[in-house]
Amino acid sequence: MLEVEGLKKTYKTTKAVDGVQLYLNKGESVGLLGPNGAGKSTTISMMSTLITPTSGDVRYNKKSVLKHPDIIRPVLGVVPQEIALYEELTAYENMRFFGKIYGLSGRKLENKVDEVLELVGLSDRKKERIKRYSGGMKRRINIAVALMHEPEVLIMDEPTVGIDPQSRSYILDMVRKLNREKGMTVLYTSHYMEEVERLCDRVYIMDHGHIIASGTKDELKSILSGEETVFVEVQQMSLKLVEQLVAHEAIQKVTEVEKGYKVIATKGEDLLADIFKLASTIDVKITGIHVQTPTLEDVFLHLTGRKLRD
Amino acid sequence: MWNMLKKDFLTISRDRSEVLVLLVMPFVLIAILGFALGGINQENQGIAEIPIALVMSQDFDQELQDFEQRLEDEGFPREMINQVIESAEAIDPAIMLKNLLLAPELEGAIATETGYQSTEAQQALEDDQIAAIITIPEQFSYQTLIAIYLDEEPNASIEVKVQDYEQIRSDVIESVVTNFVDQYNFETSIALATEGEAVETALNNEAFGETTYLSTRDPVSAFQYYTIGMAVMFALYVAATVSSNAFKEKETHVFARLMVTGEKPIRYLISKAVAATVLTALQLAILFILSGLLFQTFANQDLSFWLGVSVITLSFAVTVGSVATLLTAIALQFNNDAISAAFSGGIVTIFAFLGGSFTPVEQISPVIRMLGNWTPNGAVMTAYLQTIQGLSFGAVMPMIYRVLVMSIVLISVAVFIFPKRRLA
Repeated sequence: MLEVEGLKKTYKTTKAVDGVQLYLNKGESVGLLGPNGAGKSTTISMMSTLITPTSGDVRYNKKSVLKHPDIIRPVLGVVPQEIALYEELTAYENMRFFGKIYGLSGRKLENKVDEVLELVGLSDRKKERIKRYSGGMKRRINIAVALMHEPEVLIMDEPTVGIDPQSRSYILDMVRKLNREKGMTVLYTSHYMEEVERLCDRVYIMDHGHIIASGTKDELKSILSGEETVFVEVQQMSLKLVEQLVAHEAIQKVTEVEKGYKVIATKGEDLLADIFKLASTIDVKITGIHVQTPTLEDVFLHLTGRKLRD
Repeated sequence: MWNMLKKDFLTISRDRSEVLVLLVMPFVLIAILGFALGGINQENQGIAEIPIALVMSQDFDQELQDFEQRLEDEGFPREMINQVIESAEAIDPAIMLKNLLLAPELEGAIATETGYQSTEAQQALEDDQIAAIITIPEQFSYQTLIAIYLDEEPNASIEVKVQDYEQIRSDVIESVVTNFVDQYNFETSIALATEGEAVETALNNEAFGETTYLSTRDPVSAFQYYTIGMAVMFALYVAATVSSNAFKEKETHVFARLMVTGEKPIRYLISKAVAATVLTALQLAILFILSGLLFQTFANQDLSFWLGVSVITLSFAVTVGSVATLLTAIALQFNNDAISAAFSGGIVTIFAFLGGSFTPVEQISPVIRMLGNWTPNGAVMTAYLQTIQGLSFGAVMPMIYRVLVMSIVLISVAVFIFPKRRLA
């Protein structure tokens, strides 16, 4: 349905996007995961015909949208990372304005405004100006505006940045509903791995302008099939314990987390026993320990050596 | 387009600081300056008596004899010749113009001196002793009479030489002369026609001059002056407001969102021009109406006055719209709103000074007045003041044409600069 081929964008000497390849099938929910500055927003801007790529192409149903932007614009809904709304206008006025820009009018426009406001749960606050909204409410209207023309493809650029958990959960449920119940094709960009894990069928992992891995969630996690993640909770943090753990032949990486350490190690039978033994030799009391199945965050860490939010 | 306009109107009208700048501040300044400078300005700004020289180079008696001889040569019967000569004395345009200029109705407005010879008058004009020379050339009466009675091509013209084409008083003098010509043509045609002859107007406008009408009204009051001065100055801020709003739309990614919908950039730019035009027209209308209601600024004006004011207002609104378009194009193309800040922070003040919003600049220097008339606000301010003084619409038109041409140039440059499709 939508294909991106060798997309590149260079600003003077900086390569913001370097040969990105990706595709979206109809009705799919695809995640584009990567840290800040990975090139996700630039990729989205090129896909939505907002900026011209240095090279490469974007095709919608086999036709180049770079040459013919008008073929994608009517079927594309874009939710920008920023709150792209008129703060002085009410939610209702913003939605009516963009609805009219999309060519809606009369009763159809009014019905659509009501329907979308219902969907984002803001019907009772529609007469308030956007500037008086909370961050979460602004995010929801930001999404609502992109849904006014019932797009086939919805591209969302970090739609939950800086909002409370309740609003985030509401938005994620809404996106899942749009994808599952309305068959909307979704490209969901985020640096929150748990969001992408929750929403998406397939995932592209992006870093420094490149796609560094792609596949279904299970395919990506299988990269880490030979490894396991162990969380070690300690009474008191100890640099010496870290040194001991890093020196262990099965342990690949030790990172500090709240109240303890996250240990990535090659799967082995005696690892937990070894960790307890190491701790007791230096008088560090372990208050808890659990083994976690790999996450996309772990995959990213494995591939780049960095956390997603670094 | 209405959708975009409504959005611009709502966003600007809900911003208190914008309302303060665009409506409250000019109104407060009109009140302060009107009351504070009322007395001073009344004295200085009114059309003081305009000294002019009427140089009559023709010899009417001789030319009447020449005309009589010509009628004889043409074979007219004696009785008819006597009748024509008798009526010719009554309709000689040179005498009629002289009588008009010396009429009591013009006392206080125009002081006509008839004792000058041509060279003396020229010297007096150069020495600023007089504001204009009206010259009735040799053969003027003869040429006029044969044009009227023998239906020959008119070859007579009254020469008007003014001291400074930019000054309002020059317009007044030209208006007096042209008004006279129009009136003369009209009355001569009627007079001859009523004697049973079908007569075409023999003297045409082109032979005499361009402008019409005569101002004998009161001088411009301080309230009138500062209502116009502050209104045209603060109208320029509309352009900066609209372009700043456009830049804010780009900064907050609303512009990008609009482009993703398929909205054409040129339509967006046009919407900014129209928004600024409508906002300026509304702003000026509100200021004029408020000033009129509270300070009786435009009391007892007739319909033609309001029509003239409306045309000037609309023309100026279009010009402010075109300035807004250019500022928007520059801000969006170069991704920097410094141009709007520079415009509202400096250029508006300079234009306002040159245009005469703070003080009548012709009292400082005719050069500044001339420069001021090349600013949009200065040109329309001159047009408004001319209209208040009762000058004809024709006299005001050159300034209106000027601002409309400015608008075309500004919009053309803006369209050339504005990003055509994508943002980068």
